[in-house]
Amino acid sequence: MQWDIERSKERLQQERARIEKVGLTISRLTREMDLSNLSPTDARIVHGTHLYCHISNFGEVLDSPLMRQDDFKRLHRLLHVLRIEQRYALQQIFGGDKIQVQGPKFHGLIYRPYDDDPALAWKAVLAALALNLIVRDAIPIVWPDYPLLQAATGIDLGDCLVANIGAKGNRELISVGSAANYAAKILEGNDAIAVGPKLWSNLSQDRQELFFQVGNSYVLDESAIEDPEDAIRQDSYEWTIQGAADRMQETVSNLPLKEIDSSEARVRIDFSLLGPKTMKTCSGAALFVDVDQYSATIDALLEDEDRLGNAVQWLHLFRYEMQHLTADRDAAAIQHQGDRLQALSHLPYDDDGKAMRAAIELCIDCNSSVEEVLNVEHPILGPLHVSIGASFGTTVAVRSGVRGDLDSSCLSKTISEAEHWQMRGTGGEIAISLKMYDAIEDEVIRDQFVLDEDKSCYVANNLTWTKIADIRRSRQYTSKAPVAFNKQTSSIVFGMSARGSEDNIRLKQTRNWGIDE
Amino acid sequence: MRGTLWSAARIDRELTLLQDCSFFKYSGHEKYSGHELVAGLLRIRGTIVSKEAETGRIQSLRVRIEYPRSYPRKEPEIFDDEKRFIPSARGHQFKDYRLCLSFPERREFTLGSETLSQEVLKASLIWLDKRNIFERTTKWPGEAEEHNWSGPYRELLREEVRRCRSSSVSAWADWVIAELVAPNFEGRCPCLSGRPFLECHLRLCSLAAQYLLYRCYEEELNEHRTAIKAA
Repeated sequence: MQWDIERSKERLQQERARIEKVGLTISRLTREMDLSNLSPTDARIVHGTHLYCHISNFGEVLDSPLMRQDDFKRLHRLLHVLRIEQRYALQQIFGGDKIQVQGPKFHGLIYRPYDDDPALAWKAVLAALALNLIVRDAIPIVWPDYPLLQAATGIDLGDCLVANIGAKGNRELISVGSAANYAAKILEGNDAIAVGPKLWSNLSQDRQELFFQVGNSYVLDESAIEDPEDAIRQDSYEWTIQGAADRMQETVSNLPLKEIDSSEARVRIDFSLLGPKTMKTCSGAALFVDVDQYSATIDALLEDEDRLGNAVQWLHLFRYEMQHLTADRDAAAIQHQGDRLQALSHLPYDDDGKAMRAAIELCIDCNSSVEEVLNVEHPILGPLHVSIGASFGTTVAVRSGVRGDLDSSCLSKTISEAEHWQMRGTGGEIAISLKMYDAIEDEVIRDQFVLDEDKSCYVANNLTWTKIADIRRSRQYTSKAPVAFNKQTSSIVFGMSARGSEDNIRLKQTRNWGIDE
Repeated sequence: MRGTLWSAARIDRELTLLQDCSFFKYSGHEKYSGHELVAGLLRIRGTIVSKEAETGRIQSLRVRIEYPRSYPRKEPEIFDDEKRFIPSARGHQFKDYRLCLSFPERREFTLGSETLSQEVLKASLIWLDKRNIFERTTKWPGEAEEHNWSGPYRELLREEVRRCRSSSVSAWADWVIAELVAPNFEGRCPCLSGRPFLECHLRLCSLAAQYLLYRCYEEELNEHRTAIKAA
């Protein structure tokens, strides 16, 4: 369905009225609370450490012939088992919480002990060690013939806002704040544990010496820790590599490959129907739509609960609108990752060109709604802009994790590509792959994209449907094309559509004059 | 006092004609009725509404149509009744919020026609669409006249010269425009027909005269403004 500004305005107005009526309570997380059963009307300011554990050689794993067999069933099962174990380690051993699984990334949060940052910081380092050991050492015990996985973990300490918001029936736990962003950022390009300066400064001096500085982060020198398992045990955390491998082995034996059903998606993928035993493959475009500077805004408002409430309200509206836009274009919203949406546009399944054009249109829809509806009608936080990345290729859609808390993900190389462009983009930018650019048939849209040689993608700035429509209509007016008012659509039409039809009222373009009086 | 030109029946007929334009919604306003007679002159209020095909955006403007005494020999004027847009020459709007639809001498409307007000209203719909584009892009889409009096007259003169298809007329016009030489109305026509100018190419002659008149006036005005600024 084509983007319609009036439709977007109306639904956002209604949703805003609804959430204002319901109200939102924001409070600091205290000893008496936890993040389980966080109601949609509550949000918590949580002081804690964010961990992002990433499979850093995921691209190579995707290329591995063994993994590619049987529609990536092995990879799906591996990730499913790994996620369950990482969640177990974080929750049961270190008393933290899983926030979200984002494809090859696992996002966790540790916020206990309260009011003891040095203890919290070291606990996060130990948890990161355990998460890395699961990936690096426990997985090969379960699957000795699978490609070896490399792990990279980023950790940072700070305040963030945790809320359980989203469209009805589709709520997700999200956390927003620069600590989470920074943790995700510093793991890139590493095969180790990297921590932010705030976390590092909270470690005791002898522990600080285990790290070496790389840019603005500190990387753990794992060779300085003789026996990582022992280091974890010394702090009285009962965790071993073999124990992790045994638990994973048990999960694997309950999920034989032959029980996993994989098929090509011919209609829009309904992620709620996917699970450990059901997965889908498709050719589709992965999209990331991220609100630029939103985390910085949240950080600046952490002491101002009223305005923070407004920020959560805005985020809810953003998520609500993005969810609807993807549905309008028959695409699937995979996951809301804090202030970012990950979506998959894969229809029509039998025409890649059309599917790529539909994905580009969805990118423009998202930017248009933010720039022309959210920023104009709901400027709660002042103007905010989105950075969008999109790339097209073969994708596997999966949903994995423990029962009752499954995470939707898509696995493909193109996803990393789209994410990379989005992360390096600035607000108002739409970055698409070269292949997607080649699929554009519309001259006006094509003209808006410029090759970015550094990033190897095409980038358009501030591209909205209004901008496109203005260019198109200006060209029609300049070319003196026939123009008419169509009674059925109540719109001005040009060219062939303006010629003799009972529904058309012919209009005459005059040469407008003006005078400086 | 002169009697009113607008009988009830004539007003009804006019309203019916306007309502044939389905983009025009005849309506009153909290302060004014949909139509009124002011000193015997008719004013009609309503809203121009259309939808942008690509974005679904509804664009509307409440307008006031003011009929001149000499209607339909002169076109009615359309005003931005809600004063939404800031008047400017580049935005093709006069200071009194009148839409500048066309240069009068260009005669783009069918004067004398019964459907003249419809024609003007249709041009207003396009004006609104263009103005909205201008508001967003600061560039007026499509053709427009120069923002003075002499420029449009010069353009009309050139168009008239093209219609003559005579190289001597073309050379004459270039000379008049470049040197600001007043045409000799008493002399022979520059088309070399041998006939008096006024009997041969009257419009050409009149356009050249108007151009020179306004050009000189504008130059004087500019000099005057420069002097004031310098002072």
